[in-house]
Amino acid sequence: MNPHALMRRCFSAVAALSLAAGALAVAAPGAAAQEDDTDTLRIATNQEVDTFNPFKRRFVITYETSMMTYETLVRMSAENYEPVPGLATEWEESADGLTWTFRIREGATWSDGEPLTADDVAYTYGLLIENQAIRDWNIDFAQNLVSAEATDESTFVLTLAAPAPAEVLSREVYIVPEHIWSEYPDPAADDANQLPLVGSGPFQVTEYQTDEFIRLEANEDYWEGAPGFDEVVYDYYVETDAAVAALEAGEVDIVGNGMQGALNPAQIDALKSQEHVTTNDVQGRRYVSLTINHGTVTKDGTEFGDGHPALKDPSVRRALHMAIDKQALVDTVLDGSGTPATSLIPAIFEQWHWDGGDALVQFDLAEANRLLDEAGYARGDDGIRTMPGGGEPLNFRFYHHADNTAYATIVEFATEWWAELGIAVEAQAIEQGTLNDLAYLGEFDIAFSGWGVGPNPTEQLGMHTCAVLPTLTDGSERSSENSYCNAEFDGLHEQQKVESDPGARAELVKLQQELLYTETPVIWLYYQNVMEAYNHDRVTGMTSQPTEGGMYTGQQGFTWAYYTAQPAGSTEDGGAPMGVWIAVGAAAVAVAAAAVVFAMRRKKTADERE
Amino acid sequence: MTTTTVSPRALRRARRRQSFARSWAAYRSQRTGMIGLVLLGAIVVLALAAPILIDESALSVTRATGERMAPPSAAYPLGTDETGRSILALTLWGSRLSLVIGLTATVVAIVIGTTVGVTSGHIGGWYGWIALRLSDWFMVLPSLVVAIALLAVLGRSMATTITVIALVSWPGTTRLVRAQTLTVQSRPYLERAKALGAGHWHQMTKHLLPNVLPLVLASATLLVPSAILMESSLAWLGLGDPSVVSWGSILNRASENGAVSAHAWWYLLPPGLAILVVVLAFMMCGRALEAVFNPRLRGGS
Repeated sequence: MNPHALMRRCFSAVAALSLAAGALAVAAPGAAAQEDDTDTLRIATNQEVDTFNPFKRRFVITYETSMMTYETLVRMSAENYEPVPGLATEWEESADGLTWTFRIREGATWSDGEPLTADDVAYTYGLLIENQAIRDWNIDFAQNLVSAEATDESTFVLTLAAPAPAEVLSREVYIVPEHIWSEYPDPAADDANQLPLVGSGPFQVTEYQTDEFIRLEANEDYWEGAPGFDEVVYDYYVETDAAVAALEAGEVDIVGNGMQGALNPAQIDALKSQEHVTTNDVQGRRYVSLTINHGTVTKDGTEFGDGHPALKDPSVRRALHMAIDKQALVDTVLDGSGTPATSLIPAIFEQWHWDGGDALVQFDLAEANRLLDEAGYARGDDGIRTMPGGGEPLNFRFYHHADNTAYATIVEFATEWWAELGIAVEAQAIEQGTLNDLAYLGEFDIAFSGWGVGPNPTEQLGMHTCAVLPTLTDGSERSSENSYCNAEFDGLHEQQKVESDPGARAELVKLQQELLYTETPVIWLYYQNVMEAYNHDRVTGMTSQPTEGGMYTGQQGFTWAYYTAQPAGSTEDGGAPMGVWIAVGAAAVAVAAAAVVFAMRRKKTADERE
Repeated sequence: MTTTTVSPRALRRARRRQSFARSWAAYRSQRTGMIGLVLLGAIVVLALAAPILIDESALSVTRATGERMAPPSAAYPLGTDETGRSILALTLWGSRLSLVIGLTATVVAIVIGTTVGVTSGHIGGWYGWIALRLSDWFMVLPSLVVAIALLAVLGRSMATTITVIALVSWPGTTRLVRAQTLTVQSRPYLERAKALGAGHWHQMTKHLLPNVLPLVLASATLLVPSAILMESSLAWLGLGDPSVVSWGSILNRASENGAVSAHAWWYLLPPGLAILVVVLAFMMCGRALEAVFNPRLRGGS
């Protein structure tokens, strides 16, 4: 968290306190006035909006709003993330893999009533090719695009420089309306698209108040049919505990991925006991990892940063890896809501996930010690090992995100395990922004990292190729996760990118992961479960992704859950809490009456006694 | 040294002993002050004896034996945290850090405050004016906000926490000391000392400082609880050093790990009550000391 956000947090806390008093006074009549026929799906969030511009957004919250407001040509299926028709009803790849022809759905309209045509699609892809700023923001995909044309009302042709079947089908390019966007002076600006947004998806963002709410209204003319709810409102909660309490009180309907830091095991347990709440604790798409500074380099081989020399030695990295009991971390830190990680594709993507096989590193402190002894890192008088031939002690700087308690606990575990190896660490909690700056400057030894992984493995694997190494040493180019560069890995990567047979591609992807795993530039700790909860008295019928035991929040490729959600039960759900209040009021009156009666009787008896 | 029958040094010592006995008698006559002193003594003894009472390994996460966030039981009188460590052990060990930070920050603040106060009161002029404005400026800054901002910039460690707390709490002492310095300064014996050739240094250390010290002591005792509260607030906001255990950091972990939603009162109450008791004890002592050194306050009782 940056200081700016913290200050804002504090201000909003003060504001919340002063507002609370006022809100109490007006809440009752206000709530009554709200009881009209609008069915609202209320989702808890705490993440600020970076930009509503779908080409530039990076945050989870704006990913979700973009996904609801706009649409892609190809969706990711709810069943298993496979490509399924979205705005394109069918598509065809040319024999050389360079030309793609999409048939655009007829009858799709923009939320302002204008028809959606292939021209809009061509305009959108055209922005990726011609608008320099938008192109730079999406360079990994855009650099491969040659041309985008609409050959007629419903046919769109995309030409590539090199074949990239998986990229074309899984890359989420949100189609924007040409008749609106061509009027914007600068479509690449953060504030290019003014509210209310015009899109073709099931809900459009109409209103946003910083730190209060984001309102999305349903698109009644949506080509697949109007969604069940009339509007979706993201309500801001500073603390997850407050969101949990709101869900218990029926003031919010869904708490999940929208809250950064999400629900923790204790909160899920507390919510389980609530009759109106359904909790969901399922495999997620996110990994948590330790990035090791094994030497930060630029593309031309210039080393920069100040990593510890011992970390360049694969046996040290392997020993560090071996001294981490991932299962123990899952059990204590996550209370079992996760799985120990091997490499960078989480187990949820079965087809790409590599399970470690025979190469799986087992937690073994004695073996790790032996590895270090063998490599010549002798223990000094203080029990701390030094570089071979004496010299610098093995004392690593260990940075973690200041706002993440789970990381702080992991640091405690790792510190104790590594101490058994004669390795000392200096743990430091650092604000997220500063930590990223240090990481890309190579000024760290070991640091936390973590990514939400998409169904196309290319994205994550691509961050470990030589092609994305920075050209400058100022840490401004941030495409490489950890300066990893290995010709064999790159070869496999190029092969898998163009391989169209899923089975063969999976083999290549697994080989890449095995290489990463054995060379250990990064230690993957665990894949975190998605922990979410919703009020089933108000919401029903949500489709999860994957459909079998999947998640409702944090979906990808299409907003399956919120689109299929239906209001549950009667609209007079305000009756229950009102009834409670009446009961409380009645009880208070009864108690007061009893007290009066009792007091009078006592007085009476006292009188009589005299 | 001189070998006269009653050396000036011995005389001074005897006088000091006398005045100390007088103050102690005055202090003893105040019941709240004595209660505070006893409480404080008990807390300090517990904090010092923590390593004897509970082995440090009780703080180890890898060797924790308890259940996850288990309620109080025979084995864990105050329950456990999310990694299965005893809350009793954490609270006991946390007292050490909370006290150390509270006391050190106070000492630093008092040293800065007294130095600036005495020099600005004594020397005056341009220097006095600037020093005074500087302390005014620090005084009007909202201390928690400044502390948060500073910690965010300087990074989190025990040293920075102490520095930051000291930095936001010295101006009060400065004001107090300066006022007292001005009062003492106007007394005739200082004029006499000056006439006899005493320099600034001699005047400040031999005449002014001894006269303001009792007041400084009382104000220090009142500064400690606010420093401890400040440390706890900062740690609770997640701005403490996460690798050490303090009461504030226990509270922070409790709230971050959903102890509120899980109704794990045993996780929240012990550190909270500990803060309350320590602050109360220091306050009681401080108020009593103030009454001793400031006879105007004693008059009523």
